[in-house]
Amino acid sequence: MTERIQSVVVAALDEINASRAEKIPTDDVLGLCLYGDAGVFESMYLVAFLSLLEENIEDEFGAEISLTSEKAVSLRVSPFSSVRRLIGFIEGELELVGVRG
Amino acid sequence: MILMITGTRTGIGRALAEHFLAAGHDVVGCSRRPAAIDHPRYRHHQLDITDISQTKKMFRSVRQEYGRLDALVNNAGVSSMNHFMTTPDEVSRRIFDVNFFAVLNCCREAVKMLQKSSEKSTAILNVSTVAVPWAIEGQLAYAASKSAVEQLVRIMSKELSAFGIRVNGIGLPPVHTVLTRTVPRPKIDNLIARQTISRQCTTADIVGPVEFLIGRQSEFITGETLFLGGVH
Repeated sequence: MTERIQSVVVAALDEINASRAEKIPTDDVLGLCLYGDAGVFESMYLVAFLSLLEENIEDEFGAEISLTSEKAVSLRVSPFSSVRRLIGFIEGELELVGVRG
Repeated sequence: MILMITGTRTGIGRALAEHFLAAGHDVVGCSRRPAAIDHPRYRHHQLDITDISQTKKMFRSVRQEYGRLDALVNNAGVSSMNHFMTTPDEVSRRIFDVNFFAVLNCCREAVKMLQKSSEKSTAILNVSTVAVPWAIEGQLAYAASKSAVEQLVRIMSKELSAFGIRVNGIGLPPVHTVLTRTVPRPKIDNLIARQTISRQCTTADIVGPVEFLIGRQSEFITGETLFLGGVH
């Protein structure tokens, strides 16, 4: 399931990149920091990216999860600190709604 | 253009939907009751707009059919004419649920699809009322909920500017609709007399400004609420 989630995340980044002049580097996508001092998104763009990702996850897995929930934003280690952590968070949320790899 | 208009069963929403359909656009509408419009480019969703799960379902079906949205008109609203001392708590909450929270939820869902529009500048338009600037007695909850909408317009316009999404409002004087049918005629006449243009607003008066505010001709206008009839 991790690989399927990664593909969905990369596809969302590609979609965002298609409309950006300054491209987000995706060569080391798992280590990519999404938000914070070294993050590639400012807050509103992060929200737009997460909204797009929620839709793509719903299309891929047929399940609705929230990436902007209180839970997501209040975790001690932010799921937005790297794509690897975000994938782990998504995997956990999908398992909670009954989607398993 | 693919646009969504809430509250298309009757009155202003229905008139807007019929106008945009006649102009060749695709319209997605919704109301608590079944569709009153039969047109090949019209899609109707029967739902309670205060139920976020039903709202999400509507937007999901729009995404699946069209893949994008070019404009959203938040028209659906409720009103109650009553002294605040005799307005039940559940009535006030219902007014805020429909007039403010449902608008907020529709905006949140629409933004995802407005970003996928090929239009250079997409738009959200929210309906407000003269009850806000005139602070009409007997309409405390209604006017307060629409004040909240006007503040939403100002702040959301800033938060969505980077995405090329404009957010505006249209402030309406009394129009003959289901919302105003319980208001006594002398009260309506008094309000009309306060307008600079002293006649009752009709749906025909609203269509043009709405078309302007969601169209390309207003692509440099955002965060504004335009009042009809001369109310200031």
